[in-house]
Formats: sequence, structure tokens, C-alpha cells
Amino acid sequence: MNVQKNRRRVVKALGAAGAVVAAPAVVRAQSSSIKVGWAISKTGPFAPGAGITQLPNYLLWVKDVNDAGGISVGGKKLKLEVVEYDDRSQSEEAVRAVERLITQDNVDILLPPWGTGMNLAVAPTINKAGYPMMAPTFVSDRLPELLKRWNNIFGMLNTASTYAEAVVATLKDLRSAGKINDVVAIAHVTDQFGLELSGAARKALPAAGFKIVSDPGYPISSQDLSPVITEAQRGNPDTFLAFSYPPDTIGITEAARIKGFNPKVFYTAVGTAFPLFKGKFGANAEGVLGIGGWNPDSDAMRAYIKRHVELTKNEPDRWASSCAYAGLQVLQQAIEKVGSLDKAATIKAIASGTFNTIIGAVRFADNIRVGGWYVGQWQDGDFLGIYPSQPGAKPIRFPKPAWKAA
Amino acid sequence: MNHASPLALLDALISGLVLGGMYALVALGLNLQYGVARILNLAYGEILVAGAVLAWAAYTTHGVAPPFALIALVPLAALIGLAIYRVVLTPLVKRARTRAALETDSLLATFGLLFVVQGVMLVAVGGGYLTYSYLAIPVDLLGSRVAANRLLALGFALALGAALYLLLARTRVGTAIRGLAVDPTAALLVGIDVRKLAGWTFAIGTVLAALAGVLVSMFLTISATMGVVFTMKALIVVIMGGVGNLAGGVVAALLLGLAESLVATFVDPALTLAANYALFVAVLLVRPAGLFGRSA
Repeated sequence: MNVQKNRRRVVKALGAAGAVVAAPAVVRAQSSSIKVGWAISKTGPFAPGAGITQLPNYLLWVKDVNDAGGISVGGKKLKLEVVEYDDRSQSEEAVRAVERLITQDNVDILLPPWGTGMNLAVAPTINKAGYPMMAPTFVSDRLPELLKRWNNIFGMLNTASTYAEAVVATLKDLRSAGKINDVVAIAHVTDQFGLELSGAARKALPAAGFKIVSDPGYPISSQDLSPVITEAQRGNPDTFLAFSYPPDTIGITEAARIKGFNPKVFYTAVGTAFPLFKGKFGANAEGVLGIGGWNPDSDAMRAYIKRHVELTKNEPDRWASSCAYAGLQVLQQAIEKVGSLDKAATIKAIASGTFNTIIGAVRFADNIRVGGWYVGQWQDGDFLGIYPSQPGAKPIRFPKPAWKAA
Repeated sequence: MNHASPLALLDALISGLVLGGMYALVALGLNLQYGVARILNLAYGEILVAGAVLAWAAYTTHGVAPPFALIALVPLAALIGLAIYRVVLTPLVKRARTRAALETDSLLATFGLLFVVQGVMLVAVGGGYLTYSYLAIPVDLLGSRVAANRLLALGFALALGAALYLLLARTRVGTAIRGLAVDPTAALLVGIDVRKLAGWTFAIGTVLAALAGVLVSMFLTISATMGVVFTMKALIVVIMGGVGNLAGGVVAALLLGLAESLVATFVDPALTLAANYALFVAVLLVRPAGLFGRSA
């Protein structure tokens, strides 16, 4: 008897839940919402990167827009409704999911997956369907050439060479101030981005009169990077540059600390800006240089960081996170400016406009964002932009203090 | 990149042994599960990562040092291992007529288990990188600096390897387990409770996996979805050492670690992975059943 009653209650509850689930579809038919879709790596090797830099900002943006009543399209405020797929870190899966979003879910706004390789994989499909694509984690030296072909894509970051040459420029400044000699040790992860960064550095360093004493590559899954550090140590360089990816950025820094390798300049690439880096190394992060950086000294940024922490319980990554969010703000403002969800008109508006975002004014030249931070440094527990010199740039702190015992 | 100084050689040898120790540790549990209980456990890496995730959570939220987490985890992992064997694998063992059939079935079942364990971890802690600092102190070893937490892992690998070896070689239970590994049917005939023993062996394997997870979490950056890295490494070590031979596994792991470190130091770090697989293939060409394996 009792069981029966309970069962009835469950059925009733299920019915109610069904009605709630069905509701958006009804609303949707009256076109008072905008369908946003994305395929991103929620499992597989790309999941951590996507989960730190990109996905939280998609979710935060959707929440912020909906909390504010929606996006204004032709005088009407439309709320966002999300369709999400897991691409399982496989490019074929990403392409399939994106095709599904376009042809079956008929999304109005399409957001890209995480990482250069995945963006490359889905770019032709998204281009063919004509959606504007705001890409926050698409970094390659082929970017200018590719974006000429796919002019619906907007890169929020820059080319690999831009970042590598920026480090070399920072070194040049230090050398002309008499602070470092011209001996440099480099290392790189043998993955797309690491290869491009180190390739650019291998050209820029000798051109600027620096001498590379060691230059090993290592596979992405390396579980012990102490041989790389030992090799760098033998050349006794003033400067060490590692063009690394997140797990090995942590691994190589840890190996340097354990081996007592203390060059005056210590640089690691992707992942240096992650809150994880500070969490792992604490005071030892101080003075480490890395790719990216930010300037948190504005009300908009402070409010953004606060909202990000509230939603995800984590700080944003101090390089691409705020750029990812800003890209979505650009998209929203362009749609509002156009006054409709017309894709071609939105693309045109993005390409030619200047937009007010959390990271300041954003505009594009040949579909690549103008400006940004190329080199950052951990200073007093924050990873601040130090290069290029622009408003908000902090002076570099030199030399990096020697590693302390943990 | 040729630095043929004795110091560089010593450095490479020490870091190779430490790395190999980690591989040995990672592979011990799988050796029991695959070699003895005859379950090719594809969820092995996930169990290991689960141990690492628990150690990370205990340390970062409650300040529980990994060695203490280890103590709490041993009975928990044993129970989970037993439960997995009883619920998921026993039906397969019952219906399998041959060793090959059991291997195929357990492969499929544990492939499913992999996603269950991974899914639970993704819900619990998300897909991000997890890392913390414990015992990350440099220790001077014959003039080469090594992290204390990596040395601890090496110590555990050697101690556990030796303990398991003694258990198998010198005790009654060990003899029964070895009998089980050689021929389950014959083991049954001489009065060994095969299913119970295999269940316990699988459970010990689970404990070893979780234990290895706790230890490697002290020095590796982990994420909920990286289990396959450990499963692959463990499988290579187990096959190279000879399936079911624990001492062989330790030797194989140390060789792999040394090969990786020597190649990184004297040839090129980019070739470490290639060197690893080259050694693996070379060993199998000469000895198809592994270094210390009995040919089937």
C-alpha cells in the first residue's frame, strides 16, 4: 500500500519534471530564446585545459547574459539556451558534434572547441555554415594565412612567433641593461605549439645575438623532466626558456627547483598563468616568467574575477580566460549592433568594430585581436602582464629569486 | 648532446632508477590482476588515478598527509576490489571456458568499468589538473639531487616488490596463488578455492593500484581522465617482465626507466618514448614471453 503510494508520487514527480523539460521547446517555438551550442573536450587529454580556460567562461557568459535578461535582438531581450556535446578530445568527434549542432540542433550561436588542433579540425565546417567563430585558444603561426581563407574566425590570441619574439625582446632589454649575458638554454615539448614557439625562438635568439647552449625536445607525456634540467644546467645559462604545455610546465619547474637550477631568468609557457601553478609552487612562483599575463586593475576585471570564482570555485587562468570571455562579449555586442542573428552581418560587424570588454577595448586587424599580453610574470601572487609595454604593464622584477625549500 | 662525463652518467643512472621505481610501483597491481587473477583490467589506470585523486583531496581539503591517506585507503581499496570481482567479474569467470575467453570478456567488462570510475571522478572533482606539494624536498644522492617524494615511491616499489615476492615464493598462500597462475584447473583439483583466491588476488591488485596512485600524486600532475597513461605503462612493464612474474616486472620497470633516462641524457629527450618501445619490442623479439616469462 505504502509502496504503491510512493510509486504514484514518483510518477507524479516525473510527470512534473517532464513538463518542465518540455517547456523550453514550447518557448523556443515562439523564438523568444537564442540557442547557443558548443562541442568541447569534457573527457580525454584535452579536458583539463578546456575545463580551466574555456568552458567556465562559456558557462559564466551564459549565466551573466541570462541574469541580465538576455541579448537584445531587434528591441526584444532573448535569453540563451545551451546545447552542449563532449568531443572526447577527438577531432573527428568534434567535427561530428559541430555538424550536429548546425544541421539538427539549428543553433543560433556556435562556440568553438578548445585548442589549436581541434579548432583547425572544425574550422572548415563552421566556415561553410557561415557562423562567426570567436576562438580563444587557437594559436598558430599559420593563423594569418588561415584567417584570410576563413574570415568568419576571430583569434583572441596571437601567433606563436609573436609570443616567442616577445620573450626574446624582453631578454634584449635585460641584456642592454647589463643584467644578463647572452647564454640561453631552451627546451620544448614536441607538440604543435611547443614546436612553433621553439622554432620561432630558435630564429629570434641568434638574430638578437643570443647563444643557445642546449635545445632538447621532450614528449608531452614525460613523467620525469630532470634530464632536461640537468642538460640546461651544464651550459650554466643566465636564461632558461621552456616552451612547455600544462603538465610539463609544472614538471619542469619542479625539476628545476629540486635540482637547484637557478638561472636569472626562468620562463615556462602554457600553464604558467594557471591558478594551479601558484597553488603548487606558492612563494616559489615569484619571479617566474610565462606566456600571457593580465592586468586585473580595472573594476570590470575585478568584477569578472569575482563572478568567475563564485561560479566555478576557481580563479580564471591569467592569460586566455579573460580573453575567452571578452570574445563572447564582442559577439554579443555585435549581434546587438546588427539587431538580428544574421550571421554574415554579425561577422562584418565584428571585423570592423571596436568593442568594450572586460579586458578593455577590443578590435581586430585581419581577424586577429590587436594587442594583448605576450609575457607575464608572477609578482606578489599575481601573474601580471610585463610585455609589450602598454598601459598597465608592470616593470619586470629581476633576477628571479633562488628557489626556496618547499 | 654528448656529455660523457662520469657525473652525467651517475646522474642519469640515479634518475633512471627513480623513474623505473615509479613504473615498477605502477605495474605491481596489474601484474597480480592480469598474471594471477587472469583479469586484464583496463580500468586499472582509473583505479590508480582514483587513489591519486583521493590523496589530493585529503591533502588539499583536510591537510591529511599522503602516508596517512595511504593507511586509510588500503582497506577501502581492498573492499572495492573484492566488490568489483564479486559483482562484475565472477559471472565472467564462471562462464569462461578458456583463459582466452576470460581475457576477452574481462577486457570488455573492465573497459566499461573504466568509464564508470572515470565518470564518478569527473563528477566529483571535474576534469582539471590536480597537483600539490608534499615531500618535494631535494635529497642529495651521491652528488645528484633527487626529490624525496620520488625516492619514497622507489622505496615503496622495492619494498612491496620484495614483500610480494616473499609472499609468493615462501608462503602457503603464495604457493596456491602461483598454482593458480600456472593452471587454474589443476589448482582446483588439488583443493585450492580458486574463485576465492582469485578474488583476493584481484583485491590486492586494487590496493596496490590505489597505493601507487597516492604515491605518484605527490610528484605528478594528475587529471581524472589520464588513467590510460598508467594502464599502458603498467601493461608494457607486465608483459616485458613476464606476465605474472613480480620480480620480472620490477626488473623490466627499472630497465625501462634507465633506458629512458640514459637516452634523455646522452641522445635526445625527444626519443625517450621511442627508446621505451624499442626496448619493449627488442625484449619480446628475443623472449616472446617476456624477460622472466614461461613460454606458454
